[in-house]
This record gives sequence, C-alpha cells and structure tokens, in this order.
Amino acid sequence: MIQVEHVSKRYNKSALVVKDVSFQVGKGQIFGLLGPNGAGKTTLMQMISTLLKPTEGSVRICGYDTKQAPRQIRERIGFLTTEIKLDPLSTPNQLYDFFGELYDIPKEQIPVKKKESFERFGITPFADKRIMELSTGMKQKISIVISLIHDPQVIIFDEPTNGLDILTSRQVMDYLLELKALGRSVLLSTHIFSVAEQLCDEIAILVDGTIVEQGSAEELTKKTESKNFEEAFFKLYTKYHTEG
Amino acid sequence: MRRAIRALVRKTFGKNHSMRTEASVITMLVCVGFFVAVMAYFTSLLVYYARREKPIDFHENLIVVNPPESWMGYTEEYQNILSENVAGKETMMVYKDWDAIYDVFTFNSWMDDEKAFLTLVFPRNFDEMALKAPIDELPEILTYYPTDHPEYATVQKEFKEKILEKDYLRYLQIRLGVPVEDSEVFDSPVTPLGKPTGWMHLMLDRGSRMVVPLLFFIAILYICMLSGMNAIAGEKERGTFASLLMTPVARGTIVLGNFTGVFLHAMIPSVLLLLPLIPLASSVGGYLSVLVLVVSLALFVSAITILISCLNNTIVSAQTTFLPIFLIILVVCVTCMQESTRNPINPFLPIYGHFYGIGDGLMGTVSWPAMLVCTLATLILTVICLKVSEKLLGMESFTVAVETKSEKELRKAAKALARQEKDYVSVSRAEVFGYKAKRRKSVLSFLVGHALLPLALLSLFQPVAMIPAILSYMRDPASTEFIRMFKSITNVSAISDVASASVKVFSGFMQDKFFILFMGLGYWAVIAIYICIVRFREKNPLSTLGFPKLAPKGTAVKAYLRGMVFGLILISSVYGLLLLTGQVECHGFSLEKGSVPLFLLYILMWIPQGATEEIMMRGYMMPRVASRFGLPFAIFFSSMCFSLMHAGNAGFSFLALINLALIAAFFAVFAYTSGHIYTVCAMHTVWNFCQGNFFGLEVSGNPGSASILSSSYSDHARALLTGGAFGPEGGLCVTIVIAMAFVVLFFAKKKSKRANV
Repeated sequence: MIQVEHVSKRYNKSALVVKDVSFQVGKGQIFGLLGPNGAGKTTLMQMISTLLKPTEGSVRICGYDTKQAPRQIRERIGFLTTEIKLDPLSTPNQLYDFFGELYDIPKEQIPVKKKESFERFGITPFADKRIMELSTGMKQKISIVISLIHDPQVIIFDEPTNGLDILTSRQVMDYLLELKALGRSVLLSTHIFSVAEQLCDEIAILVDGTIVEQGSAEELTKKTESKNFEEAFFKLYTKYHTEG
Repeated sequence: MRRAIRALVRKTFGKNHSMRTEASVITMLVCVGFFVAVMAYFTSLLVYYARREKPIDFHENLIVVNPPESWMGYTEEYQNILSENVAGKETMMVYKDWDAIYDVFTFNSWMDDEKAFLTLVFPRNFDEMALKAPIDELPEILTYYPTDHPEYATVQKEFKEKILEKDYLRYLQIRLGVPVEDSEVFDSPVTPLGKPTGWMHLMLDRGSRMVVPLLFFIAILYICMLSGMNAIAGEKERGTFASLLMTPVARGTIVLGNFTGVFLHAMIPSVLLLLPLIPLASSVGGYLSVLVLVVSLALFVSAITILISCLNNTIVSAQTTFLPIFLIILVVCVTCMQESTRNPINPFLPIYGHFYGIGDGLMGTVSWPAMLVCTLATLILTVICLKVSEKLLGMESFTVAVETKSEKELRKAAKALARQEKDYVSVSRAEVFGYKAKRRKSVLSFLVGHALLPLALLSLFQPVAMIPAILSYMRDPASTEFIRMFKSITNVSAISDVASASVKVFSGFMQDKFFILFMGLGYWAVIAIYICIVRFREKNPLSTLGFPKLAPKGTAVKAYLRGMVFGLILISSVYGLLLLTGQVECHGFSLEKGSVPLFLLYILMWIPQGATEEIMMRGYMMPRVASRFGLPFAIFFSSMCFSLMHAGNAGFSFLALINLALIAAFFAVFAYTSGHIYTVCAMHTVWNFCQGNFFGLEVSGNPGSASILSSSYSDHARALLTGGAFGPEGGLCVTIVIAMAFVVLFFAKKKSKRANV
C-alpha cells in the first residue's frame, strides 16, 4: 500500500534531512519508524502524506504517486501529527461537521458516524466544549477521530501517543490493532520502544535521516545480539550516529 | 467543491471565526486616527446642518485697505457692480488705511466689526506702481475673507475672478492708457456676483465626494485586514492550516472559500453604509454604479488580503505586510479628496476610480465608461491575486512551517549570538550615572537617534513658542517689507539678504515677553519628555539621567548652588579678560524699570534652558553613548552634537564650534567626575544668564536684552577675541578660560583623590 523508494529531502540549501530511504508497507501491516528527535521521522511522514515534496525518489500510495496525484492520495490516507492542531475556538461537533463536508461524506452519514466515533473514544460529554477547554489527551482523541473521518485505507500516525497518559495510550494502541485487523495499513512513528515493540510488524530504525536497520523487534534484537529491543536500538544508534 | 466552499465560507465568516485582537498596534492607531478624523468631519457637517435651520447672519460689506484713486473711480462709475450682490443685501464699502498688508489678525477683527465678507488690501502707492510696471505684472491686491462659513470662499473666488481680474483690470488699463484689444467684458453690463449656492447642495456634494467614499474605503480595508489575515495566516499561526491541506479539497477551493468569507465580512459594513445612501442618491443608475464599485472594491481588497495571508505565517507579519498597502490606498484617497488632482485618466484606474466613482454616483454625474473600465480592471486584478494565492498554497515554503536554515545561516546565527554575549548590552563599555543598556539597536539608528532627538524636540517647541511673537510682529508694518523680501527672492544674493533679515527678526523675538515665557515652558516640557523616556520607556531610575538621590538631604541643592558660583566665576573670567584686553566697554547700570518683568522672565527661562541642554547632552546622551562606545567617544559625540546644535545661530564660526565643544566637554567631564548633573545645570544657566542679562553680551548668537549692565564692543575690538555677533563663545577669550578651567578641574580632582587615599 505504501512504497517509499530512494527518498531524500533537503530544505532549501540545508543538508539532507532524509537520505535515500526506501521501504514498503503492505495491507494489514503496522510499520514503525523508530528514531530519536531530529532523525527525520516527521519530515519523512510529511512527504508520504503529500505535505512536502521529496527532493529525490518517489512515494506511491495505493498506486498513486505523491507528486502526480496528491488529491487521490489525500482521499485515501488519514494523517495525524502533533504539529497539526485543532482550531481552539471550535467544538468537536463543529470540527467533525466541517471536516465531514471537506471530505465530502454524505450529509446523512455524518451524524451517525460522529455519534459512533465520539462514543467509542468517550468524546460525547465534551462534544460541545471548545477545544481550548479540553485536555491534551482529549484533543489527541479528537484529532484521531477527525483524521479517520473518511475511513482511509492507509493511516499515517506521527507520534500518536505523545503526551498521553497510560490509559489513553492504551486506548489508541488498541484502536490501531483494530484497524490492522480491518486490513488497514498503518505507518507509525514513535520514539517509545514499548509502543513499537507491541504494535509494529516491522520496524525501521532511523538515524540521522537514514534507515540503518529494518525488521521485526525480535529480528532486530537477535541481529544485534542484544538482551532486549531497547538495547538493540541503542547499539544501532551508537554505531551509526555521527556527532555534529 | 461547492460543499467544500460552503464549509470554508462558514468557517471564515461564521461566528466561531472571531476576529482575534492580534491587530498590530500601528495598524490600530492608523485606523483609529482616521476614524476620529472622519467622525470629526461628520460632526462638523452635523453642526452645519443644525445651523442651516437658523440661517447665520451673512456679512455683506466690503473693506478696502489703502484704496488707490483708480479703485475709487472704478467703484464710482460702476457702483451697481457691487450693490445687491451678496445674500441679496446692499454692499457698503468701508475704507481703511493700514501699512501691514499681511496682518491677517487685524483684518479678521475688522471683518467681524464691520460685517464684511471680504477685505481688499492694496499696497500703498498702488497706482504709481501700476503705472511703472508692465500691465501683466501689476502689484498684487490681497484678499482676505472670514473662514467661519464656506460661502465666503465662494464669494471671494467669484469676486476675484469677475471683478478684480477682469472688470477692474480693464478699467485700470483704460485709465493708464494701455490699449485694450477686446473690451467686451468691460463694455457689457457687469454680471453681478452669483447668489450663494444652497447649503444643502454644497454639504451633500462635499459629503458625497469626500466623506462617503473615505468611509467605504476605511471600513472595507479594516474589515478585510482583520478577517483576511486571520483566515490563512491565522490558521498557519495556530497550526490548524495543515489539517485543511491534508483534505482532498483543491488549493484553489481553499483560496476561494476563504476569499468568499472575507468578502462577505467586508460587505457587512458596506451594506450598512449603502442603505442610508438610498434617499441621498440622485438617480437609480447612480446608486447602482455605487453598488457595483463598492462590491468590486470589496472583492479586490479581499483578494489582496488573501494573497498577503498566503505569503505570511503569522497574523502580525501579515498585517505588517498589509500596512504599507493600507497606507498607500489611504494616501490615494486623500489625494482624491483634492479636486485639483483629478485628471482624465485617474477615474479609469482602480482605487482612484472607486473613490471618484462613488462620489459621482451619488451626485448623479457618473462617467459610465470610466466606471466600467475601473470595475473590469479591478476584477482582473482580483482574479490575478487569487490565482497567485492558489499557486502559493502549492509551495511548501508557504504552507508547512519548517525550519529551513542552511548551515551557513546557522553559523551566522551562532556568530551573532557569540557577538551578542560580548556586546554593549551584556558588558557596558563605560558606566556613567549607573546606566546600563537593555536593548540592542543598530549603530546607525542608535547614533542618529541620539543626535536627532534633541533637535527634534527643540524644533518642535521653539516654533510653538514663537507663535505669539510672530502674531505681534505681523501687526508691525516692518513685517510687510520682510514678507516682500521673501516673495522677491530671485537669486542667491537675495537669499542671503533674507537669511540675515530673518536672523534680525528672530533676534527681535528674543525681546518678546511671550516668546521668553513660552520658551521657558517649552524647556520644562522637554525636561518632562526626557523624564518620561527614562522612567517609562527605558524603565530606569532618574539617577541614570544624572539626577541621583544625594545624601544627606539638601546635598543636591548645595551642588546646584555651587554650580551657580562656578558658572559666575567662569563667565566673569571671560568678561574680565575682555575688559582687560580692551575688547569690551562697560557703560554701567542699564536696567530700566520697564524692563524688570522681562528680566524676571529671562531668569525663569534660563533655569530650565540650562537644565534642558544638560539633560539632553550630559544627562541622557553621554551615559547611553558611553555604555556602547566608551566614555571618550561619548564626551566627543555629545559635545559635537551640542556644538552643532548652535550652528544655525547668528555669527556661528569655526572657533565658535570648537569653543562650544570645549565648554560641552568641560561640562561632561565635570558631570562625570561629580556623578550627577546638578552642578553643571546651574553652571550652564548662570553662564547664559550672566552673559545676556548681567553683562549684556550676545548668548551664542542671540542678543541680550533687559540686562543689568550695558556693554558693547570697543572700536578696536577684534572678532577673534570677542566672537563678534555670536558673542564671547565665538572668541579666543572663552577658549583661554575653558582651557584654564580644565587645568583647575584636573588638579582639583587629583587633590581630592589624594585626600580620599
């Protein structure tokens, strides 16, 4: 569903932020991008979700190229990142209706879908409160609901559990597994080992904009002869990270 | 697409999209200023309307000042011209004699007393001058009219055009024996002056052509600015824009949706303004043209704001980008308010065409081709703006906020940071009066700002203080000659004559009681401004202005009194030296009883005057420049500024420049070593006072008056020693005294240092 081929990204005249990255995500698969802050995870995900254009290489989603058919791709992906915020003055109800119309969801379906998703995430009691009055966890839940409003085939989540408490994190993780079971492809970026280990079928370790190793958590642990996945990551990081 | 546009319009226009108050302060001030101006105009209109009910007593008489024989003959022959022509009443001629032909104040009071609508002022000997001069270069006849009623201006214009420049001129030509080729105007019975046009029409015309279009412009510009900047730049700032971009909605649709929302916002005040104009409009067609123009203007401005919103990532930066456009459009509006700037092309151009078109539409004088061309051009520009906006939203640098610093930029930023750590804000080069810089400024604006602040403040207050003196000078016949000199400047030598005459006139003002009083008040105002700058802008204590709290109580007063004594010693030494060398002769006691009030006013003026210059140069400028560039440069810079500030005074020479800089440097060193400016304030005051009002000498080019002693330069006086017209500060005697003062100060400080050890 997602094909990333030799993708590199450079902002203006700066050094390469993402260097020659390639990977594939199949149907019903959860693919994790693991790396420290500044490794290039967000840039890579923004390229996959058409917000940025790759300097080199290509990204194809559901057979469409991001450069040639961005609108078709946007119809098929759900993108969530911490950098995208919700209008603080709107209520979850208004936001759902607004995005429902932008995604051209049939009018009569909007209230039904809204009720279902709001109840699932426990948003209903806060549905008419302004976003600015809600907690971080609640905002994140609303963001998730809105990003999946059009029932996308490909889900791209950038740090979905960032800043969430354990309970809400768990809820989000369970939801992702459910989506997987429904045959959706999920691309997930995180810097939390437990999330990567528990959720992802395959993990790519991103260091300084390059994928240094790829495989399941078990494979990576074995390959690096480590006790656990966390140690495996640190070994890889120390090996490939260059200062400055 | 339609659904998406509807949703976006609802969001931009809807109640949730409140216009947040991030409007930049400057923009707000500009808008408030304009609104106040427009409201003031409206209020004046209302007052006029109210007065319309009770028609004011329109003046009907004519005052003729210095009437020449030719005029008397003319009015005798053609009495009918001037009778029954103003407000249907008979015009009486009132004759007066007055030498000061530019004395507008006297003429105004005459016109009030004599119920005159116009004053004609002939120069003395008009007929003789007219005989000598070629017919097309006749001496000017001045006309004055009351300004409390706009009709007077109309009548004056008509009088000038019909009578003075046609009938009377013909009469004069025949009288002087100049052949007249075409005597049609003169031969035919003279048309009487037109009846004043109706109040209602005049006010309606002015209101429709000036106030109404301006109101539309201000309302549309302001609302579009608030709404447009909030639409896309605001979304970017709040981080909510990317979620819009992630939807399958086309970029063009996003632009169109936001644009429509902004346009609808702009139409709210426009409709509110359009409704009351329905009964005022002269025709349906005219009103429709106004409607079309207002809509096209709102479309255009909305498109501009959307374009600017796409270019910027924050509301404030977008508003700052829009501000110049806002101001340019307002300037165009103001230009359009002046009838004289209307040319055949302007009504076809956007903005110009809108302004003229709205007025014309309301008054029923629409130029349809101009209106259509203007509207079409506006619509084309609107489409271009929207297309460019759409393109911008396809570029990642205008959509996703990313750190795009190159390595070179990062190195540069690191260097700048390192430089900042060592710069004058972090480490003062020299600390004077405990001042430490808090803000960084570029070198140029720092130095230029410091040099210009005193000049700006003084040039603001001195002309204001001069107004009463100018008013009383206008009553003096001498002013006529002076103004004539200005008018007759044809070559460089004439300019120098006028310059020296101006200096003389200004010197005369120095003896005007009101001038001295207002100057004193002005100096206090400057002191207050400096205190405000230090206390409220810099948020520093007054000690950084050279006014520390000295313990025990009364030390500051003692320091001031000590300064008075030092000042007296210094200036007396100069005077003594001038006497000893025979440059000056003292004629003894000269203060007359009548001059005592002026003398007292001088004392009251010199106290803040000395303090002001010390606060400006030593108290404010020296510590601030020193903290950045070190003490030696601060003393040099402040002294040169002080010296150059006097460059415009009479008799200023190179030696005067050096001397004033030396005196300033002496005061600076004295203030620095004593840690305050109390003493130097007093020294400065007493120096100037004694020079002008004790010894009776010139003070930096300003002649002294009301002096206790009377002194004058002796016959064999040499300007090199005395300073000539500039006063002692332009001569070598001051150089010698200040040099000695420096030596004394040096040893005194050395001694006190030793005593402290």
